[in-house]
This record gives sequence, C-alpha cells and structure tokens, in this order.
Amino acid sequence: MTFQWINNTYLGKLFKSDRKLSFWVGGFFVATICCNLLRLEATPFFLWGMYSAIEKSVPTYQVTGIMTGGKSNIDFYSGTSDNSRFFLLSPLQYYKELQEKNEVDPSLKILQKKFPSLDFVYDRAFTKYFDKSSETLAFPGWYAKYLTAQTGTSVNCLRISEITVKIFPQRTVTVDSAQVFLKWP
Amino acid sequence: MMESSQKSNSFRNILCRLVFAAILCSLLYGFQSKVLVHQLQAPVLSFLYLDPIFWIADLTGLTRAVSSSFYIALAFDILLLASCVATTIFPSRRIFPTIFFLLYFLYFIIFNSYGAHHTLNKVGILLMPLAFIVRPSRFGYLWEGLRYYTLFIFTSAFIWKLVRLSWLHSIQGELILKKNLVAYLVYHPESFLSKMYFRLLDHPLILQLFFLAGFLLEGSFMIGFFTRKYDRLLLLGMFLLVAGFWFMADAFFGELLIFGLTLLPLKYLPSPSQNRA
Repeated sequence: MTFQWINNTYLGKLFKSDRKLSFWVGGFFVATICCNLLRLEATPFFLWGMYSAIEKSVPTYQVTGIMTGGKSNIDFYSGTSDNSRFFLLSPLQYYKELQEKNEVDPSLKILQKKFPSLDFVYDRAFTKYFDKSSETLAFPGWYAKYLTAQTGTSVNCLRISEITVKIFPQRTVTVDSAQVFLKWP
Repeated sequence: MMESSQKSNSFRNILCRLVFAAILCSLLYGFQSKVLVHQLQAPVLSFLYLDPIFWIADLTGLTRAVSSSFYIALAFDILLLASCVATTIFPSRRIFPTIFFLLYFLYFIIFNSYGAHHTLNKVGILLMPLAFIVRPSRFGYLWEGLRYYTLFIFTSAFIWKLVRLSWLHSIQGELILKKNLVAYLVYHPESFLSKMYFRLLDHPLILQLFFLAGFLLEGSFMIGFFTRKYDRLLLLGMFLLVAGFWFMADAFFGELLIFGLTLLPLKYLPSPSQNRA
C-alpha cells in the first residue's frame, strides 16, 4: 500500500508490461545515478556537470598561439567549426599537460589517490599504459599533418606557444608573455 | 487495436527518419569539419582518463586499429554513413540502426580519446538510436525513457551547480566567459561579438544574471518528471540553454538538441504513461 505510487511511475508501469526492458532501463538509470554520486564517468553513464565547478578568479589567462612559418599566429576562429577547433586545440592542451608532468598520464595520480592500495598494479602497468613518452614524441609530426589537412596549406614547420594575456575592464586584452612548448621539426 | 498498432509503427518510422536525418546532418558537419576518422591523419596521442570503456577499447587495440590506417578508417566512415542513410531509407529494419549504434559507439570513443577531452556533445547521437534498435512494440517505452534522460541531463546540471554552490559565487558568470572566450577576444578584438562581450564584462552583474537564469532554467526541467504539459516550453528552454552555453562558454552543444525530439507532443506511442496529463 505504501509503495502503491511506484506502480504509477514510468518504471513501475514498464515493469508490469515489459519486465526485461524495465531491468535494462532501470539499471541504466541506477548506474548513471551511482556514477554521479561517485563522480566517476564511465561511458554510457555520463556526468552532466555543465560548468558547475566554481571558477577561480585568476589575474591572467592562457591562449594557444600556432605559428607555421609566418610571423603571426593562425586565427583558429576564422573558417573553422567548433568540431575543428576542438581537435586543433584540445590535444595541444593535453600534450602540454603531459610535458609538465614528465609525460606521465595525469589519470595515474587520480587513480593513486582514489585507490592507493592498488600501487602494485600501477607499477606493473606504468610503462605500457601511463608512460606517454612515445606518444608525445610522435605527436608534433601528427599535429603538423592534421594542421595541413585542416588548413589546406602544407605545414613544414611549427611553433606553438602558450600566450599569457590579461583582460582589462577597459575593453582591452593585452599579451603578457609567450612560452613556446612545441617546436617542429 | 490493429489500427492503433499500425499508426504506432508508422509513427515510429517517421521519428526514425527524423532522428537519422538529424544524425546524417551531424555526420556531414563532422565531415566538413574534418573530424571523421579517416580525416584525423592517424592520431597518436590518446586520452583515456578514468573511463573503463575507453580503457577497454584501447587495451583491445580497437581504436588504434581503426584510426591508424587510412583505408580502414575510410571504410569505417563509409559504413557509418551508409548505416545512417540505410536507416533513413528503411526505418523498419532494425539491423541498420544496430550497425550504426555499434559503429558510432566506437567513433564516440575515438573522437573523445584522440580529441583529448571527453566531451558530451555527441551523447544524443549515441543514445537516440537505441529506441530504434529494440523491437517496435518496445519503441514507445524507450522513447519515453529517452525523454526522462533528457530531463535528467538538465536536472542533474542544476543539482551539480546547487551542491557545488557555484550559484552562490557572485562572479561565476564573468569568470566562465573570461576563461572560455579569452582566445576569441585575443584573435577578434574588433568583432561585433567581442564588442558585446567587452560591454558585458564592464557589467559583470548582467553576466551573473545570465548564469543564474540558466541555472534556474536547468532546474525547471524537473517539472517534466511529473507532467508532460510543459514539454513545449522545456523544448524552448533547451534551445535557450544551448544558445547560452555557446554565448557564455563558447561550447556548442548543438548535437545535443536531438534529445529535444523526445519533448515533442506525440500521439500513438505505446508507452507506459501515455495516458498521463
């Protein structure tokens, strides 16, 4: 009697008419909620945070500058879609993060923090799965090829930097400094 | 009874065509953006993060096998497109959406692994075909399940913001804009949009109000769990949120709008709660 209302829910009705499907659908929702509670994303149980993390106030911001021989950076906002920009910029950020972390996948640190008792597994798996040195070595060559395909112009040399900028309230953005993190060849 | 079932089936087929036509547009957009697998130039740097499915795909060598050879990648993309087109032409055949789902699942992993960021933009295209894989008598149930999932997406975004207290952070809107649009402001300082952004940065309170409005709009999706009466408004809200994410954070969730189809007022669906208000 107390749980009578459950029969009137979507899952309750589904359970009555198609038990097998109700287990699949119910299982999917339960797994999704569990993953959200554990803050662990495991496809297809996604976390929909959508800019929910508190943003920190910082004095400067970083922008990627891509030079391919010329004197000015490629404007990746002109004539590119969000999909293209994603593939042009996101791998670069990961590459830079790996450089800063001695080419070790940052997920190793998170795993060590979450499951410290599994240290012996990490030691065994390190070279094969967490050491990204061979991938980072091949990355600049691949990036030049991909940039060639994206821009339609042959890229023979690459110079990618992280530009530090300041945003002022008087409608200006000024460049503070630039640090090259990828040179090719 | 028979007539109702026929209507339901033809309705399913119309929806199937609609969903897969939208998916085809997304794939063509991907082709134009040069992000289909054969256009990725055999990527080398994968980001698996903590997602076990990504790890399994990598450990089995599946993602690398498909993406590292141009001809295999091309064959993969052709099959992906062909299964999508075939579903649009033959909506009642379940084999085509099944093939599409399996291939797209792999594409989703390749895109996010080698894109080095696990973006959720393509989740709608990944999950919507599920409704057409099951036998037609189950279609309505799953379609309604997808409607609940759509509601869950925005409700959970609301809850995440609520529990992380970002809605209390007085300059959250301003900081989101600065962090995500700084590159655009650097490269196009004189554009109309940049001028608008600069003007808004001069009035951060307006940006905060945008953020809070989005937060409340996400929360309003909770009502959909209790009634279908406001589905049209929620659909409009979904468009507004997608536009808001693009404007405030340079994040285009256009492909997520495919979930909006589940909010359309539909008849003839043999779903468990079809008689609800």
